[in-house]
Amino acid sequence: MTPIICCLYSSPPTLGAEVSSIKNAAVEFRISSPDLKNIGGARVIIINNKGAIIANGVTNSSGVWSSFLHTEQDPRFVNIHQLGTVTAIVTAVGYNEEVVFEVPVFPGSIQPVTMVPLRPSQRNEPINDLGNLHRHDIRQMIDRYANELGLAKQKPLPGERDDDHWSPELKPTR
Amino acid sequence: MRLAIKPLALVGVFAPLLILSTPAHAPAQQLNTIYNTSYPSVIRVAIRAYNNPYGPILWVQTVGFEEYCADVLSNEWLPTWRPEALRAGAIAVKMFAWYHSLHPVKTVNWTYDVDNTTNYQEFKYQSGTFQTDQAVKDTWKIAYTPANGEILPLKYRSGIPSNPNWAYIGSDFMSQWGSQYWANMGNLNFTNILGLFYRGETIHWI
Repeated sequence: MTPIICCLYSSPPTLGAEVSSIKNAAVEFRISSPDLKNIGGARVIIINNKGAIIANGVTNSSGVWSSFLHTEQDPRFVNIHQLGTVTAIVTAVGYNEEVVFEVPVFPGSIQPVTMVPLRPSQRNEPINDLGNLHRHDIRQMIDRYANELGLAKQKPLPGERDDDHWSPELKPTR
Repeated sequence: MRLAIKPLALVGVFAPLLILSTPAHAPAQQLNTIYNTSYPSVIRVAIRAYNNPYGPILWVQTVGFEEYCADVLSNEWLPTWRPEALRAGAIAVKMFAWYHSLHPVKTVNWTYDVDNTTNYQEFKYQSGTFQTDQAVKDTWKIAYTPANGEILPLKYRSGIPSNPNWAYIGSDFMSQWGSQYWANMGNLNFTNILGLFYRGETIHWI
């Protein structure tokens, strides 16, 4: 029985990081319009992964609102980047509401949001967008899950060095 | 596209032949070099939906050239990377954009220099960080060109994380992860990093 108990208690190396927290990470929201005007007085509402509002505030005259946020480590990015993710809702006078999903939370994180103006005689509905997760973090997340599932790589493109792409096929089992 | 350029001495010798062989109506092709071309003050960025390379163009945004470079670098290089890797990236981003500002795209509905996706370089307005903004500033007076000063795009690819990316060495494509590896493990400065990946170009102060 002893060996079985040992196995039960041995946790994968990433488990500790999964339950860790991102504490007091300063996140800056920069709100602007498509014609590059900073939008002061916009309201930013932050919702955590449990659906609760954890912060809200109003942008200054430069269109900036910063807040220290406390979130849990996003388990998808364990061992890739110590970050949490939240959802932001932004409202501003003269603009459609905008929801930004997957806003990364880590010290120094910056989330630009481009608002869409309300237009007369048009459908004016909320806009949804994706947060500013970095392309290198996303690629490493893909690598993590593709490796975990045992996917095979695609054949390299002729003449292209960046040929490290996953296929839908599983690696042949030995 | 690289233009075939003769060294100045050869142009002098064969100048009469060139004149005779050129049709009178053909417009003279001026080579854009760092000696006869200034940085653009602005760049026109086609904004595609969701930063998707196949997304429809929503609008064309005119952005200050330096601001554009800063708002690209933070998306193409990880802001947490070593400063020398960021400086190498800043020069590549700028030279790529400078070249395309001289070769705009014209469609039925739009005229633009670059778009906001990996068709060119990923751009998100106001996404610059302190570290990446600083790298752009540090290298603003530096160009990286062949000896004749021709403005050419410095191309790059992601490469393999935490790896020297040997396949990119001397390939004329910089590996982004490779730049970080060599800044971190090799303690190389940005000049040496650029020299690892690009052949034939050197630093020029402008």
